[in-house]
Parts: sequence; C-alpha cells; structure tokens
Amino acid sequence: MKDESISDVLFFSEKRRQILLYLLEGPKTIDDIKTYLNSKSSPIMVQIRILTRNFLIQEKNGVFSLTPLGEYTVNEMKDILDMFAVFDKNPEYWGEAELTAFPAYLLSRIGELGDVELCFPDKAHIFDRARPVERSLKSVESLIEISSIFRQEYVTTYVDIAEKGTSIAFIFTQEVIDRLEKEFPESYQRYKCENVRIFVCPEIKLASCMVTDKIISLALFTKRGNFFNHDLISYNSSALVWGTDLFHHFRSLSMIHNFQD
Amino acid sequence: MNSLIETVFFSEKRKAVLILLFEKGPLPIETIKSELDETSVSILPQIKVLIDNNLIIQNDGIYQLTHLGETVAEKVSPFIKNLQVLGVDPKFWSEHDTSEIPEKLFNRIQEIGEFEIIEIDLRTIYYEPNSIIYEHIKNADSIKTFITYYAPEYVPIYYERLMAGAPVSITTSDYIVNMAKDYKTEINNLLQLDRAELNVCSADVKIAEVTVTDKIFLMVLYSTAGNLDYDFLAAESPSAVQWGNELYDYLRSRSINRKEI
Repeated sequence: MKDESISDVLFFSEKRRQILLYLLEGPKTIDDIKTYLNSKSSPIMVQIRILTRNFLIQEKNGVFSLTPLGEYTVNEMKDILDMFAVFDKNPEYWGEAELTAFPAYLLSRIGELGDVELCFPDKAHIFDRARPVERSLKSVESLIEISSIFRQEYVTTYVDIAEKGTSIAFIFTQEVIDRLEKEFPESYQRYKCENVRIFVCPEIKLASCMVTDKIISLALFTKRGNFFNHDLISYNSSALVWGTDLFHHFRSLSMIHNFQD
Repeated sequence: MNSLIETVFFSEKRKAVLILLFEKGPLPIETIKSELDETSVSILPQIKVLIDNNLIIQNDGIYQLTHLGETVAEKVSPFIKNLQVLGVDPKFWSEHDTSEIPEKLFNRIQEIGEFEIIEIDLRTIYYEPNSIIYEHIKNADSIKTFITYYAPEYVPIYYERLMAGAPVSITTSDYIVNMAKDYKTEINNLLQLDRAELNVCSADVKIAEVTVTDKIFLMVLYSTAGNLDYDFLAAESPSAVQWGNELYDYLRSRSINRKEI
C-alpha cells in the first residue's frame, strides 16, 4: 500500500472527514458514529482503521476520540474546509471579486460566513436590495452599513428605521456623505438623532456591507472595478460576528462625521 | 471547475506550486520547474488546473497567485508545512499531551524542523545524566529550563555552567522548590548572581520540561495518560531554538520571579 501522508488521510475521503469532524465534538462510541453517518459498520470500520493506523484517532474501551495529533489536524482541517465551502459555493463570484476590500485577517476567517447565498434581484427590482434583505429590515434591532456606493435605501427605508430609535452605525466614504447632505438634505437632517452615528472612511474598497442582528449582506466590486447589483447573504451567527469585526476594522480607520446644520 | 479540495489537495504538484508561489512570490516557469524538479510536460497541466480555478494567473510568462489563490495558500501552506514536521513521527505527536503549548506557537510547529527523540534509560534517572543531554548542557553558553519533575542528576552540570559564567534561568513549580529547601542557603547564595534567575510557576502546567540553550531546544512532554516517559525531543536549527525561546518566555510569563527561596 502507498505510503499515506496525513493530508491525504484527512482530505481524500469524505467519510473520513465526516468521522473526524464528528469526533471534534468529543469522544464517541462506534454506535454513535454509525448512527451519525447513517451507515453500516463494515465500511466505517475500514475508515476507522485507517484513521487509527495514522495516529489521528484512538480507541479505549469501545470509545473513539481524537489523539492530540488528531485534535490539531482536524481543527485546522475544519478551518480550511469552512473557507473552501464559502468559495466553492460561488466559485465564479469569488474568482472575479475584488478581495483587497478586506484586511488579510478577516479574509483568512472568511469561512465564518458559513452558509452563504448569492442573491440577484429580478429586472423589475434591479436597483433594489434582494428580497430576503428587504424582509429582514422590517424588524431589525441594530444596523451597521459600510458603504462606498449610494443606495436609495439610505434615503428611504433606513431613515424610517432610524426614526424608530434603532441603533445605526454608518461608515461611508466622503463622497457618499456629500451626496446625502447636498442632494437629500431632508433625509440627512432626519438622521440627526442619538441612535445614529456616521463615520467617514478615507477608503472603502468594497461596495457595501450591511450587518444587522439577523443577517449580513455583502456586495463587492469586480477586480476590474465594475459593479452589478447583488447581495451575498448569510444568517449564521459566526457571519454576524465576522461582519461586526469588519465594522471595527473600518471604524478604526474612520473619523466621526459631525452633522452640519 | 473543481472543488477547492480537489484542486488543492488531490495533487502533490499543485500543492507544491501553490506553496512555492506563496513563499517566493511571482516566478517564471523555468524557476518553477527547477525548484520543483519538474518538466514542462509534468507541471504545465497542473498549472493549467490552478489557472482554470482562479488560483493563479500568468502574465508575460510570469506566474503568480491571484488574491483568491493567496488567501487559499495562506490558509493551507502553514498547515502543510506543520504536517511535514508532525508527519515524521505521528506516533509521538499522538501519544503526548501538547495542549499546554499555546495555539499560536503550535501553529508554527514547522519551525522546529528536523528533530530527534532521545530516549532515556529509565534505570539511570535521578542518578546519572543522559550522556547526550549532558553534552548539550555542557556546551551551552546560556541555559533556560522550565521543569516540573525532579531531576537532581543534572544539578552539577548546571552549577558548573553557571560558575563558568553562563546565564542560567530556571522556571519551576512550588513543588520542586519545596523539594530543594534542603539546599536553601546554597541556592539563595547562587541567586545573588545577576546571571542566575529563578521563577516559580504556581499553575499546574502539563509540560515536563523545556530547555533552550544558545544551541539546542529540548522538550519533554507528558503522555496523554499523564505519565512521564522521559522522551526528549531535541532540535538544533536556529528556528527551533527561537521557537523554544518563545515557549520558554511564555512559561516564564506565567511565573513569579524569586530572589530567594
């Protein structure tokens, strides 16, 4: 038999990956594993023998657990698989997207976006937010928007949300703030309340990112600098944490905007 | 388009190209071929797969990672490198408790590079130093040792090095300090020397020993069952010594400096 490298053992079989990720939750009996994989004992035992032979798992009194080597490698594998899952869901999108929009440490954690869905509006709503985003805005408790593009919601839906007393933080480029202030002075004035903060960031290379207590929606430019309307959304709690960290990143590069009369 | 697992992990050559471009930056095909000891016929098909999957691009004969490729390589490359170190002796890493090594440091375990395991003759412990370890300490111009087990057989050689002018830093547990109370006066006299340092760690750290000299890094880990097999991991590369220094500094930072016992 060919010499097995640890990375081959980890990645070559989906069944093995499933067993390893399951054991990351804690020690399991063979019956637990069989039930979890909904599979008969013999094909599983083959994989378990391979994992044991390669020192990734150990058996004691009928209970299987990860060895220290297994613990490290499976945690890393999970991290890699999470990232790959996000990219593999929409490979063309990520191949074209301008990724310099994100700081490296958040790009490295992109797997936290979890179960992402790429939504495109139909033609009659081509300039609108995707339906799931619009629906979620009907009952939000907090709202973050990082944006370098002017969206019409900033002078419609978002103003209404602000007036309900919902906590809102905007990070805009100077250009977006200027347009809001000069072309929509009425909306601009209505944002002047305690629950709304506006920050100005010298450079935002993503189109927009909205994070609420329920959903994150990202929109990126292409590498050529083009924009097409879309919402890359996720409801995972890890994705909301990721989005909040993205906010803190841009916040640290921004100045507070003082409202003009 | 393939899944990223297939693209990255199902070919040793593709994995090697990704890591090479990640470490060296953009390269012409001739360099890629010579670095990886490949021919055009053997490597170009794999490079094409990487290009088709948006991980690398080619401009004027120069190959480089895309931003997506860079993100993927940054995630995968340290893990593959660590596996090269861990894969040399997977049994050792599966049977020894590494949980006390900070994650940030363990994620850089590749820096240990080549290492050997020195097995101690259990009949000689307490009475006679292991000859290989003895030689390493004897040749040291500085010594830092974190130790949580009783090893009186090494006291004379440490004393000799200290008297010869080598700085010696010891970090140990309350338990070992209490065992040494019989030599209180002698130890307190030695601690008058600027180059002698004693730190006491009250936390129950499950690492048996970390010794770093100017030339070598030595580590003794407890087994997963909590036993001590006295197996010394020994590594001599400058990066291993650096890694060992960081581990020692971490353990020292969890301790309190004592001028006397």
